[in-house]
Amino acid sequence: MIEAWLSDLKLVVTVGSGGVGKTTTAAAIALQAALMGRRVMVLTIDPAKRLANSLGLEAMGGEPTRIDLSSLGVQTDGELWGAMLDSKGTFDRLIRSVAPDSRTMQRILDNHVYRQMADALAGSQDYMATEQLHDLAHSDRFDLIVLDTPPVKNALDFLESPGRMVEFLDERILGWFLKPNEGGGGRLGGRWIRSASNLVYRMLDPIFGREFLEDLSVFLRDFQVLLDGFRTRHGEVLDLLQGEHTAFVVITSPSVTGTEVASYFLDELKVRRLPLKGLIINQLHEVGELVDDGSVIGELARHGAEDPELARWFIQSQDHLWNLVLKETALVEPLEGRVTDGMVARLPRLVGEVNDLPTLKVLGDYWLERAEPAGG
Amino acid sequence: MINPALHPWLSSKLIFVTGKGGTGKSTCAAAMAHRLSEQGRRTLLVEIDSQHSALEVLYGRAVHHDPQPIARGLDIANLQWRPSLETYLTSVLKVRALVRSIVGNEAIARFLDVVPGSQEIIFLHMLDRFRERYDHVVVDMPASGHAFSMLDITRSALALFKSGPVRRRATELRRMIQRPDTLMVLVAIPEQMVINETIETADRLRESELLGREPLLLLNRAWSSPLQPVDQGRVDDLLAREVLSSTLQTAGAWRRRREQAAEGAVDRLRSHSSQPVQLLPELGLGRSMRSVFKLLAEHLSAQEAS
Repeated sequence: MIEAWLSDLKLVVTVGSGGVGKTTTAAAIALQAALMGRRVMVLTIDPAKRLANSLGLEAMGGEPTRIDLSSLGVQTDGELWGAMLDSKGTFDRLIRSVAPDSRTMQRILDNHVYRQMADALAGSQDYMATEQLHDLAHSDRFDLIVLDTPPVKNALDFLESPGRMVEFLDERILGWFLKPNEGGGGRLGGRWIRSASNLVYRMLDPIFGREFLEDLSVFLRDFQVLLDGFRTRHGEVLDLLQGEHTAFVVITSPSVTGTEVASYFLDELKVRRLPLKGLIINQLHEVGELVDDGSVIGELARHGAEDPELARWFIQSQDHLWNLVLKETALVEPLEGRVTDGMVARLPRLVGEVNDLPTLKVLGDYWLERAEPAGG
Repeated sequence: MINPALHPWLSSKLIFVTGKGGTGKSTCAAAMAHRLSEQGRRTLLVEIDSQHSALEVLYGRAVHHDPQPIARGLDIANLQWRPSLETYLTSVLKVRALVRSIVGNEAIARFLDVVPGSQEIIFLHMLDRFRERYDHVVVDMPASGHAFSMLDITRSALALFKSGPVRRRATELRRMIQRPDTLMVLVAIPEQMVINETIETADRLRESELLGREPLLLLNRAWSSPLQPVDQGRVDDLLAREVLSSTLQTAGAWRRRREQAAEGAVDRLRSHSSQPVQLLPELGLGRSMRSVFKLLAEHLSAQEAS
């Protein structure tokens, strides 16, 4: 069932809280698709090195890295690639590709505002995620892209960041900041704009300092030429995200925070009309029938451990674990009914850490085995 | 008796609490704030522009930009961007009418929303103001990577703003972060990836010379075994033989793994920090928040950190 679900997709976006195994699950999904013979890219916009960790690599950069699957001993024509979001590198590439001439390009790349902006502008990392996604999706190098979003509730904002950027760089707004004497002339050089922008500068000068405003003004003027490109790309990325071959998968663990954030995403995806097609509940504890206290003592005695301390320890351990399982069940059950399309899977907590390919495959195998059609 | 040398957070005026998501950093920040306020010190527990406030979830009530009392001597707040901006502009420009005309101008307001570094600097400016009004300010920071970038903006801003008040303020705020009574707390849990990331962040902090002192490492959900080492060995033997019924085997192995993971995590963290590593116990799901804060707070100050 899950094979068919997965083979139909071109983009999987995982969303969820931090610490729920989101990055690991994204990698496990990607690995399964690669083992099915597809060419898969798993991309994370998380600043930490978790994805590399899960794939058993020391580190990973902005350039796609091919993951060697030979340690799994499985024959496949598929490929698994991984990359970290590299906002600076992507931005630089973008500037190089759309700048009208090399002088403008160099001026942008050398500009102080630009240099800070590529990393520091609010939302620019999110913005670059969509840029990188756009590049990868249009490259034809991959059959499937698995995008791991940052572990925050506002992760979906990355969908809007290109819109915000376009909005900010809107000509009308730009006009306020273009210095009249350097302004590109033409449509932005009118007298009204000139006086308005002088007013803006007079107000901002005592706060930010003249040099900064000059850098900014140069940057914005050069940046105008990129606007159309931004608009087109924003539209294309939205089409991709809302497309029929895209699945948003909510990942959660059975924790209070995890389920609270998952619940938020389930609502939010509906509100934004994004294709919610799956829920994966990770890290569930499992335990069998409770053993009564007398039997615990008897059992330990039979195995040469007749000791009240040890018996108390075992009795406490099974109580703890049982309580944990009950609480986890109560937390996750309400979520399951809220996914009506795609799949729902409950995965057990694995012994040890998922930090190499074979363990990642074990997690993915559980997923293949346990996923059920949603709404069923 | 509480030994301040072992509990550096008790004598710190400004405490940044951060950690990987899911480590319980907000709960730890709250527990620290409760402990400080219980000692009769005026304390503020604050998060920064949190669109989905962790403190609201913890306390089950709305948390606003302006600090509101939540317990005796303890206020909570969730700093919002636009009011913070207004406060900042007022302190720079002095003239309220001018500030109003700036923030009332759509283009300028939108510009200020996105100008690189301005949000970070202005939020830090707010924290600095709170330092004056409270004995302690405990900040529930974003996850570690973002927390680092936020504090480090005070350095990158110097390249961006070559003159003017923002530059002066950035320099002052950098000094605030480096003060000996400013402390960074990194919250971890006994999981390998979390420990890796915590060590990575601690190294990055050290290399960047961002802080004036070593961060405090806090290991949350650390189970310590009630058994003597010899009995731990007997349990391990028993589990290794796999002779017990399935529930006992599963539960016993599960608990031993948790106990051993905590020990291993403590060892790894200690070898990477000259500060003591503080342990917090696993309290389990489903307790009331107030009892969790109380238990954590007691643990934080009572335990003999080694």
